Amino acid sequence: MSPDEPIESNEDDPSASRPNGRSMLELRFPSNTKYLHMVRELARRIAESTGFEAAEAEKIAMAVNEATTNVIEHAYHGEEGREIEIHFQPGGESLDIQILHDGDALEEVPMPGFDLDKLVAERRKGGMGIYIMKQVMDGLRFGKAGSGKSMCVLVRYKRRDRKGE
Amino acid sequence: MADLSMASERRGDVVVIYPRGFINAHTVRQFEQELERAMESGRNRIVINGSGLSYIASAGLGAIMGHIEDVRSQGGDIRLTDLNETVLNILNVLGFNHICRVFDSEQEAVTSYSEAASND
Repeated sequence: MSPDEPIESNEDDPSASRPNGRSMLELRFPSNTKYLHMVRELARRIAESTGFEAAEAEKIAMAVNEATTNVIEHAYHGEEGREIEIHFQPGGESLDIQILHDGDALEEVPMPGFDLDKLVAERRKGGMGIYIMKQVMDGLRFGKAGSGKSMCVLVRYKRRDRKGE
Repeated sequence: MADLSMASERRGDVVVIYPRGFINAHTVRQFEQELERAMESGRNRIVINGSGLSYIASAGLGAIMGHIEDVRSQGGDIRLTDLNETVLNILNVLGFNHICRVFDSEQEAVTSYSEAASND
């Protein structure tokens, strides 16, 4: 699936959230940073079990951790107990991951030349999560699911030379 | 095992911090407090020994970024050593090794401060 391909989910028709009839693993948990480690480990294991090598699975786990942290901190502003849903959709060519929430919609911040020196000089403690996601994944997109929830979609191809096909 | 435990030891005028576990948005405050404790006691030459660190997320690197200019302005630094592949990976993704010096051993990291002083 292309990183730019819209993903629709429809609560009346669960198969609609499974492009190409892929099986899907779903995880729901309350917004709380104490679950980040569990989510990261699960993402790593799912990536490994769907054919990614250990180093690649680590990178996917890294991206899922950053995306989930962003939801807790920026969509829910640290409020605990709100729902986060993660859909893992393994396919032959790729692993697609949707992170859904009903907090403030997040947007991709344009990053013309990520400047770590500038962040350090400004004593900034954040601003790296989206850059990490973009570096280690093949697709990153923010949008709305058919359910009305906001979502962040991460796509990683098994063969990175297939990116964008 | 706790998500993160912290310990630190003095090596002359260098303080070595030993995080054990992982540093993410959940545990970062503990890590940051250890850095701040060292700085408040006037010890600005800091080494973070990552031999017990399984991974660090951007939140943890943010804690280093938020303090490194302050320790440098006091003649100190934050240097890293004994990092595993997972931690090195995120440093490489961000180009963080351009910001922080990374050493293979604690001894090298600690003595790098005295080498710098003798070159002054």
